[in-house]
Amino acid sequence: MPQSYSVKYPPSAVVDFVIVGSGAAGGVLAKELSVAGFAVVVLEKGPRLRPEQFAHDEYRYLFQNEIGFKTPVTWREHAKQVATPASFNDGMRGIWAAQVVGGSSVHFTANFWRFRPVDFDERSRLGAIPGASLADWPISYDDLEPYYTKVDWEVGVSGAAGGWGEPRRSRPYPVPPLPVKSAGVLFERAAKKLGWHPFPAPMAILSRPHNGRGACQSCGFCMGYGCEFGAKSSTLASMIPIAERTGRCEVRANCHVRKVELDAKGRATGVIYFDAQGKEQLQRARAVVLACNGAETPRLLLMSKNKHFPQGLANSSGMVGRHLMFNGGAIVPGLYEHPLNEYKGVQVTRIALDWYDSDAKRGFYGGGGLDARADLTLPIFWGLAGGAPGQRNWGSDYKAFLAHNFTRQMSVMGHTTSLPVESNTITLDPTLTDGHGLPAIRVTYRDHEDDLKMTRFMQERAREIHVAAGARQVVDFPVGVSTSAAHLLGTCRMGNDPKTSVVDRFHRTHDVRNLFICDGSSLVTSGRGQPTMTIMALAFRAGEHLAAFARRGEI
Amino acid sequence: MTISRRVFLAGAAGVGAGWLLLDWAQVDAALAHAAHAVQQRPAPPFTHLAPDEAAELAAVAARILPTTDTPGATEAGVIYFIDRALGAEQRKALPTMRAGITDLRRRAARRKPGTTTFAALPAAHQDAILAEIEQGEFFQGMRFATMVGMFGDPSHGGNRGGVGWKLLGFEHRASYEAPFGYYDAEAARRR
Repeated sequence: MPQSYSVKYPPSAVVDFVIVGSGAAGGVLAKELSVAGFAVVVLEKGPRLRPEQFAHDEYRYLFQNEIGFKTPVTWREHAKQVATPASFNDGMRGIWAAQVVGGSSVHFTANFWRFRPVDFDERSRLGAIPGASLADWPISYDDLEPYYTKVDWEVGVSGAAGGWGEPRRSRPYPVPPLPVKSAGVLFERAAKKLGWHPFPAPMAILSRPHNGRGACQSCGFCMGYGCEFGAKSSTLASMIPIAERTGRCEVRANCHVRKVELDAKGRATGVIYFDAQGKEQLQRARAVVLACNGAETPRLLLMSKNKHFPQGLANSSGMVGRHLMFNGGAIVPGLYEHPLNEYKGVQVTRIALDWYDSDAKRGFYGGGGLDARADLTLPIFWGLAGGAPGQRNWGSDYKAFLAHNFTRQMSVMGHTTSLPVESNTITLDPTLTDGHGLPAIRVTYRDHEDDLKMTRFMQERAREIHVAAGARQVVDFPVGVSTSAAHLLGTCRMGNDPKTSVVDRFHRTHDVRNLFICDGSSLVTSGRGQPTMTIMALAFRAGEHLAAFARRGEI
Repeated sequence: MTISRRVFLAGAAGVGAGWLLLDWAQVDAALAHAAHAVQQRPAPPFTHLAPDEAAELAAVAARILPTTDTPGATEAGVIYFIDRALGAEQRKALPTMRAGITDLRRRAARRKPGTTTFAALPAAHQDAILAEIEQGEFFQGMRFATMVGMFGDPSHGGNRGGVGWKLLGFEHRASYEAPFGYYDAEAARRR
């Protein structure tokens, strides 16, 4: 398989930007910077897959992690505990991210909710929250709005303007919502009955051809899978082809960066990586951009410690790896009289965000939303986890249950805020290593009590939807502390104060003038459960500023 | 995130040592082998399990998803998925499987003196034994393997003729068009 699709820079080349990671942020930055005229090398740890290589094969994708996260992870709740290995392959604990050109934008579900003004200045509105380090962003919704619009149009989002409480938007959606499913119909009917305000889900999946890409075929293999039709708006489908067509961007797959190099003056000179053959290489660049996600970015900074930065590169604040946020989630499955066939079509078609703002009357901090979704409604997963807790999950009764209800189920999911808590961290595991002998990612995480209360609150609303929609049976799972994560946020937070943040409002690290970070780690707050659109919007904005800095010689 | 919680809380998390460990070096060859094996009629011999081992594991799978008025693990050829996988991407689970077989036979002999195999026991006795061990690594691994062998892609060696998918009503087409289900069809009619 070819690893290079366009320009190929010689090993000795000093490019303008080396970008580590090709996902939601890295893919957008690669396109923005190469279109702006700069020489760009993107280093991606995972392989590059052609569209026809994305198979509708649950065993390979969901249970063998074919495009999934390969970095070993250990997990604990508190710093006093010894973290133990947590693999998504084994019991589905740990980190669920994709390791492939396009990153997790390849396998995401594609819920694209814009953040709202409140997400950027909630600290000022609400004051301090005990046990958390809630902070305002150094930018506002209005600063980011033009870039959300770029995501809508350039990356490609389906939706209908005018959803409940929608913040100002400068343009409508480029393509209409995807066709509503039975779950969406039941959800909308029930939510209206309850006095709430459901509306069509904004999804980064094209309902109609747009920007030369085709429309969704409703195959149902979105969450956890790559889209062979190119209808899902991954950076692999939307941004990377444009970057490569400039003739200035080289995306190198299977390249694993282990260190950011600094010169004696404290300037970044490039990155050291293992190439596809496992050989160590140095890619030199005028500026280094990290976009590896909220777990791998702090890991790389911590692995890049040197005499200038003994506690990790760009970590004079001690904030690298801190304030890890996952978003809370409560899934409530329900069974219905007639077939819904939720395995057909995109995962989500209707949402409601009536609980977006934190409300003191609830007695705790938090905001959230609901969606109706096909929650991994594919056959193997259904066989393993279709039953309710306590129900015998083998034998002839169980088989009859599986056969009758496979087509008759849907889930309602509550999505919620996670508070930034300083002791929730990504650090380097002291003992476990990966195949290159590099330290594993160690997660230390315990949800803030308000996060758990908010998740339970949304779980109750989800149950109300099922009851109002006439479900025959509603399945309850207890809400507990997080044992896995798909959203990796906040670990190199953005801020004006170098003592309490890692990057400034332009994604430049406070400590190293030509080192930039843009990915989920930049987020100061978690939003209400769907961070990827904001990560992409930040990347469009960062791309514009980085290009301006480079033109002015300020890198 | 929640998908994991659902797997956990539905009691599906303990999939058994080794059953999900990844070994991609093996997978391409294994898939080619499986594709070939699936085409063979009559059923090919087992490649990694001894016939008596395969008979025991097939008997367990047949109680996890029994043959009733509809096909079960036996008709889906779940054992052929298990045999193939234990020689390839799931080979680290083989010791657990073999230890499990030994344990089953011991329990079978205790329950019905003179019995030498689990497979020879009446179904009610088999179910009683499986209920004793259902929290253990062996059974959880077998439950996982049975679900994959019943409901996974036939290219992996099980789900023969797509019987698992037919049982559920899963069409497995590359694309679909709205209306997808009863309620959206009904709503479209009303409009």
